Formats: sequence, structure tokens, C-alpha cells
Amino acid sequence: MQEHKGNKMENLEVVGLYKEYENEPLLTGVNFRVEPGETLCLLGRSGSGKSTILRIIAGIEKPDAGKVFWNGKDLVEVPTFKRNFGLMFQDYALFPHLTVAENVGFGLKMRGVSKSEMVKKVREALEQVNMSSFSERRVTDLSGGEQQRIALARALAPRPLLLMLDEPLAALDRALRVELQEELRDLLKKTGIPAIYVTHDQEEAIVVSDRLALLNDGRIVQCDQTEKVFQFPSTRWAASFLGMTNFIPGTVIETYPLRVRTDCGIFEAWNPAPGHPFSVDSPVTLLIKPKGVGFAADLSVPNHLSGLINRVQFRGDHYRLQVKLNSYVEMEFSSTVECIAGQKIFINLAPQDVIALKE
Amino acid sequence: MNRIDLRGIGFKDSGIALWLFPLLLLLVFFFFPMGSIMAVMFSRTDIIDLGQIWHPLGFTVGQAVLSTILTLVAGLPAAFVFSRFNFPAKGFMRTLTMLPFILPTVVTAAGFNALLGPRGWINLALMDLLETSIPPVTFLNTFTAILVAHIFYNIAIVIRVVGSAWAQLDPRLEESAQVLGASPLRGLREVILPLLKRPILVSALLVFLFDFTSFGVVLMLGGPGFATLEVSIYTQALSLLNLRMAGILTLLQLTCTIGITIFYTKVSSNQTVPLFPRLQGEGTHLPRTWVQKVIVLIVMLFLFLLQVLPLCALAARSISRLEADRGERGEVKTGLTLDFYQELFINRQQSYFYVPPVRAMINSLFYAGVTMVISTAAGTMLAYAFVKKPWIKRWLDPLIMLPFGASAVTLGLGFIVAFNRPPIEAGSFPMLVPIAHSLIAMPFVMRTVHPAISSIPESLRQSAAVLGASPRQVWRHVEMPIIRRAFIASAVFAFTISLGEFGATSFIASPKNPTLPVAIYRYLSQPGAMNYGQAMAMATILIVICGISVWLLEKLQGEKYAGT
Repeated sequence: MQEHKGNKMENLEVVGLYKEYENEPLLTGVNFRVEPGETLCLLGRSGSGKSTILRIIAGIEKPDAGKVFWNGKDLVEVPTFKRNFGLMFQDYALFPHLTVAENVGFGLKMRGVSKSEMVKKVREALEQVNMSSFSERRVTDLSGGEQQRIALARALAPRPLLLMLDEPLAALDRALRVELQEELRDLLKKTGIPAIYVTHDQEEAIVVSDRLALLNDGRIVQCDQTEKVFQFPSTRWAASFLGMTNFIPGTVIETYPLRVRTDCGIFEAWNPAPGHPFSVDSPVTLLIKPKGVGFAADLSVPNHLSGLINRVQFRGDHYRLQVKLNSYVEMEFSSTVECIAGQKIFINLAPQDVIALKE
Repeated sequence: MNRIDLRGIGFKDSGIALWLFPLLLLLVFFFFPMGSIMAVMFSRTDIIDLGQIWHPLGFTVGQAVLSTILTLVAGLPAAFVFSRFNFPAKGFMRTLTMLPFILPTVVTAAGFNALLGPRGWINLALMDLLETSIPPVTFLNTFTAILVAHIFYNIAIVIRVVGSAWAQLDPRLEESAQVLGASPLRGLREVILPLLKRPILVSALLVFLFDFTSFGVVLMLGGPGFATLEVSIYTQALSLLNLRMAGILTLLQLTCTIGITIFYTKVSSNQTVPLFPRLQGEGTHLPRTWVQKVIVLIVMLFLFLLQVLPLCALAARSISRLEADRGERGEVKTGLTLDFYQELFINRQQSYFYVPPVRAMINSLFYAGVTMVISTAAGTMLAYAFVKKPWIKRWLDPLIMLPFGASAVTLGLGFIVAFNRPPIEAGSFPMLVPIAHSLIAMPFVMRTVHPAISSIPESLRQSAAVLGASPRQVWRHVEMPIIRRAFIASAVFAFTISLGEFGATSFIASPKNPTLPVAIYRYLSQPGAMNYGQAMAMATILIVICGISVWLLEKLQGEKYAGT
């Protein structure tokens, strides 16, 4: 296959991937697309099959069912080494018997690139990751962060049609991870190579991705622009996985505007999937965003709650409040204003802050 | 030094009690005999024919190089299959490939004899089919026989050394190469083989060393037309009684083997290729594509034909009567029989040199038992000394490898030259055989026990001591349980080495007190179906004992890996 030239038509499509692992279903019908130039992040717990998806796209593993298309062409008969995709492994898999430059030039050598051309391209790739001065070093002498950059340069050097990164920062310490997230994001944007980025770290996903695909129980439960996924998680699992904790069960009493009766009163809620309206009397779970803390009811928004602060935790730039709404419902909210335990507060929420989730 | 000093944290000063005994063993039973050979060499005036030096040397090097190359060619695909694929009966096949490695050379020879020899299955079948009395297949006494037996014998080394390194190799390196555009063959050439260069070299050197010092195989399968240095030393010393010539050949052999051993030690200890640690079993899978299935099938079929068939032929031959015995006339009763086994226990003392096989069996078991005690004691003491004082390891380790590298025949010759008067006289002092065996087994014991002992962190002993354990209790309750498996494995190994040792024993053992391998050799070279059958029966007994040993070793090793 050809090398990446920023063709606007290039896209990857994954359809109905099914894969069993030791007789247990691991992927149970995975579908998604990667559009030209975008970075799609696959976010899911460890063991959810994220890496397996990458390995299937790369051709290292075969799915039990399902297909992978590049520009509409089925890749089933294309062996790994002819796909011209890049894959960066979690532990980098740098060749320990080769120098930095030889590692980076490996993919070019396999493609029969001339020596002078290779030297030039290796230099460019090393410059991209700010590692020019390391070219003659042994990869085994490098630190984790340096190895990570070399692995990235190696994957980028042959200008792959698609770049896949499997938890590329997982092996690094937190400070370095934060620094490299930004760099990676910039580099991916600069090269324009479409990318699939696998991680279990939300923060990394937010920084790096254009779109986010949440993986659970072997399938994609939500795939949308990163911002939208965080604003409007579509299921209770998705919301919990993204760290949201305030849930309350209720029953739909009116569909437009969407109104839901709960033990804490009636809420005007938001349906994140307007194409799939709720029906009256159907059960629903409300996700209450942890915001809107005030000391009086704000009548400009339709939803009001009040309660007593149970506990206050200082979290650097905000306070985390545990609020007792009635004798058996407790929720967590954040406030930038200092509060004290025992204080009575009000929570004022717009409809967009109360998300109706399908069970 | 008192006994406590052997046990755990009670080591003081230089730990001399630990390494003095093994060192004395070496001085008296290796360096003194070697010195005696040198002395004889310079004192005798026997005629020296340079052709008798260059010819065996050239042949030894030539056959060793060719055997090593062929063993690598046959062993590398097998190493690949074992390290990358799971398939039915994999564990069984692994154990089977290990079996020939510890089989006595006489058994190997007997196995090929039973399969392809003039009275072997194939020739008997062909003779019956073609109605001829001349065996159509000539395998014994050919160069091919030597090469095939060497591959049979040493393929396990390649499978083990290269296979385990290959299995340790991160499969992602291969995958990475493929994602970067390398075809599987290109990935093998550019990534896998360079990373396996060192283990391949290590196994090649070891195979070369074994082929270079090959004795039993060349003597019994190559026949009179071929002579390695080892065989020449044997014939010069025992048949031609030219001890000067034997001494010169010994010196030559010793120089070569020491060179190879030093190179081997250097290469094998200098493991600089970082092999990424990984989970057990990761990267192995069932063969998926038809190409993979065909590769696995061909390799297993090859191993079966090469390694299992001769042994099966041997075992089958030991219970089949197919031809007339000496003096038997008329119709031969063919069919299954246990006569050869029953005959082993019957004393038909007709000649002075005749020794009933059961006697040889008792001798072998006795020698193996004594060897086990001496070599595990000395080897374990050395291992402790090396852990406690690494500087001792630096100079003593190459020394204890010497008897191993110097080859068994050299050792045997040294013994008969050095110990030729009372109180220690070869031929009448029965302890010489197990002592020689112990010198050969000691490096194996040390190498098996040493990693286990050095794996015990000092903090373990210290925390046991803080908890109130005396040095003796620390040894009993902390160290011994940890090293137990390695210790038992080394004992099994030593026992098996002694049981099968042929080179040194053929020199030292008195004609009246042969071991099983020596007896098999004698019976095999005598005419008559009964002698042949008894050789097969004895060899089969050795196979069974070795099989049990290998099974035990695998089990002990398996448990170690499982971390139980």
C-alpha cells in the first residue's frame, strides 16, 4: 500500500469485529470509522479488548468475524507487512540489537528506500521528536521517555497511512506523561496522519483525541466528539466510567420538555439522544452534574435541590462537597467557594446538567 | 571448620571448607593423572608418526564442523516450533527430545544398530522382501552414521538453548517488524536471528565440543574406518600400547577442548542481549495457517523419525527373536520372546572374561549411587562457595570445567597411567570409576544448584535469624526447601551421567567388573543372536532408567517454573 500523503479521502472502517479469547467473547461487534486526519481515542478498562482491536487492524491477529476496510477495500487478504500502518506498542518493542537510527530507519529499509533518502528521513523523524542527538545511541541505554520518543519516530518515519498507539504513555511517570500528551497531540496534528489512540486514562484521552470511543463488554457504547462524550454520556456505564457519581432513578412523566419524577422531586432533564425519545412512564436514570452550588435558589433555572453538607474535601483548585439531599440520598458536588460541614446549600441546575440515561 | 559452617549464615573467612574438597578431588584425580600422561609422553621413546596426529585431528575437526552445522540446520526449526506453537503432545515431544541427550552413547549406537544395522529391522525386512542374505542397507561403519548419530544426540542442545531464548524473546519485536513492513522471512533475518545470535553460538559451541570429543558414537557406528582424536587415544593406548603417541594426542585434544571451553564460557556468560521478560506462555499459539500446520507437522515427524524410531526399534528388537542363535540349526522360531531378558540373570560362566550381565547392572547402579553422593556433595559445596565468595568462582569455575572439556577418554587414560600401583590401582580399586564419573558430573551439579542458592536473598536468611532461627534451622527451614528441587535434579542428573558414561569407564573398569554400557559394547561386538538380543535388552533397560530420569528432571524443572 502507498504512503500517507494527506489524502482527504482516506479512511478506516471497522465493521462488526468479533473475537473470542480462551472461549470467552472479548469483542462482540465493534464498529467505528476513523476519518482523514483525526485522532480517535479508544477508551476502556484494562482487558476490554482495546489492544486486540489494534492488533486486528494491523493484521497481527485475525478476527473471528467482522471486517476492516481501508478506503472501502477489505484488508482481510493483506498481510501485516503490506498494510503500511504504524503501530506503537505499549512497551515500545524497540529492537535491542539496533541503534536509535537503525530502529527509526527499519521501516524505510524494509520498503527499499535508498540509503541517502533513509538518512534524510531518519533525521527528519528524529527531529520531529526532538531526539536528533541520539541517533547513534543504543536503544537499551535510553530512559523510558526517550524510548517512547524513538518508538514514535520509528512508527512515523515510513509515513504510515494510519498510526495506532497502544497506551503509548502508560509506562511513564505522571509528570512526563502530562508533558508528552501535549507533544503527541501537536505532532499528530502536524503530520496529519489519522490515528487510533488506545488508553485507559481519561485525562490522556481528553488531551489527545478529536473523537472518543468508549469500549465496554466488547463493544463501543458511545463514539462521539470528545467534548460531547464528557458532556452527555449516553449510558449509566459511560457516565460511571468517566468518573461521574450522582445518579438517581426516576420515571418519565412528560416527554417535551422531558420531565422526570424522582425521590428528590421532579426534574426537567436533557435527552442526549433526541433521535431516541423517551416515552411517558418509562424508567430512567438521571445523571446530576456536580455543579450549581449556591446559597440560595436560582429561579432562572428549572431544577433546584437543597441539602446539608456532610463532608468537605479540599481538592487543590476546588472543594468537593458531600451533600445529604434527604434521609437516604447523598450526592457529590464541587464548589470553588469554601464551605463548611453542616452548612445548608442549594443546587441550581439547568436541564443540560440533568442528563436522562437509558438503563 | 565445623559442620555448622556449611549451613547458611555461618560462613566465616574464605569458606575454605567448602572448596577444599572439590579442589583436592581435582588435584588428585585430574591434574595428577594429566601430569602423569605428560610425564609418560616425555619419558617414552615410542615411534611417532606425524600422519597419525594430523589425520585424526583433521577428521575430528571436519566431522565436528559438519555435525554442528547439520545439528543447527535440524535443530533451529525445531527450536522455533517449540518456542512459538502449542500443539497436542508438545510436552511429551519435548521430553522425548531431551531423552537422547542423556542416553549413553552405547544405547544410541545400539538403537541405530537395531534400526539400520545389518541385523536391524529395516535390513531384516528388506532381506526378507528381496530374498537375499546380504543386508541391502549399509549404515553402520559409514560417515553418515556418525553424522546422523551426532544430530540425534545433540539436537536437544539446540532445541533447549535456542528454544528457550526464542521463547523469551518478546513476540512484539516480531510483530513490530511486520507492522514496519518486514515479511515474516525478512523479520526472521533482520530481527530474530540477530537477537538469537548469541544463544545460537552458545549451542553451536556446545554441540561442537560434544562432537569434537565424540567417542562411543565414532567407535561403534563409524567403525574402524574413522577415528577421532578420542578414538585414536583409545586405540593408541589400549590396542597399540603406544603411550607416547596417546599422550601427544591427549595434549592436542586437551588444548583444543580447553580453547573451546574457554570460548564457550566467555560467550555463554556474556549474555548482553536484553531479552524482555514476559509472561509464561505468551506468544505461543496453536498453528493457525496451513503453512504453520505443515511446518509443525514436518518438524515433529522429523523428530519422531530421528529420535523415537531408533529407540523403539531397539526396544522392539529386545523382545523379538528373528534369527538363529550361534550353533542353532534348522528352522528358526521367530516371534516375541523374553529370553534375552531372562538370559541376563543366568550365569553361564564359560570363559574367564565372561561376566554375567546382572553383575554389570549391579556395578552400574552401585557406581551411579556413589557418583551421585560424591558429585552432589562436592558440586553443592562449590555452589555455596561460589555464592559466598564470588572471587573463588572466577578461578575455580574454569578449573572444574576442565575434566568435562578434557573428555572422558583423556580422563580414563590419565587414570590408568597415574594409578598403576597400590593402594590406588586402576583395575582393582573400584572407587576410581565413580570418582571419574563424579569429576564429569560435578560441573553439571554446580551449574544446577548454583542458580538456586544465589537466588536466595541474604535478607531471607537475616529475617529468619532475627525471628530466632539458628544457622542450622535457617538452612533446614529456609534454604533447603528453596534449593531442594535443584538439588534433587542435580542428583538425578549425576546418577544418569554415571549410568551412561562409557569413555572413561572403558579404560578404568576392570574386565571382571564392567558397567552396563561396557557390557553392551562387548555383547554388541560379539556374534550370535543371543548376544545381540542381550545387548538390546540391556540397552532397553538403560533407556527406561534414562526415561524416568528425564521425566523426573522435566517435572522438577516444570514445578520450578510454575513457582510452586
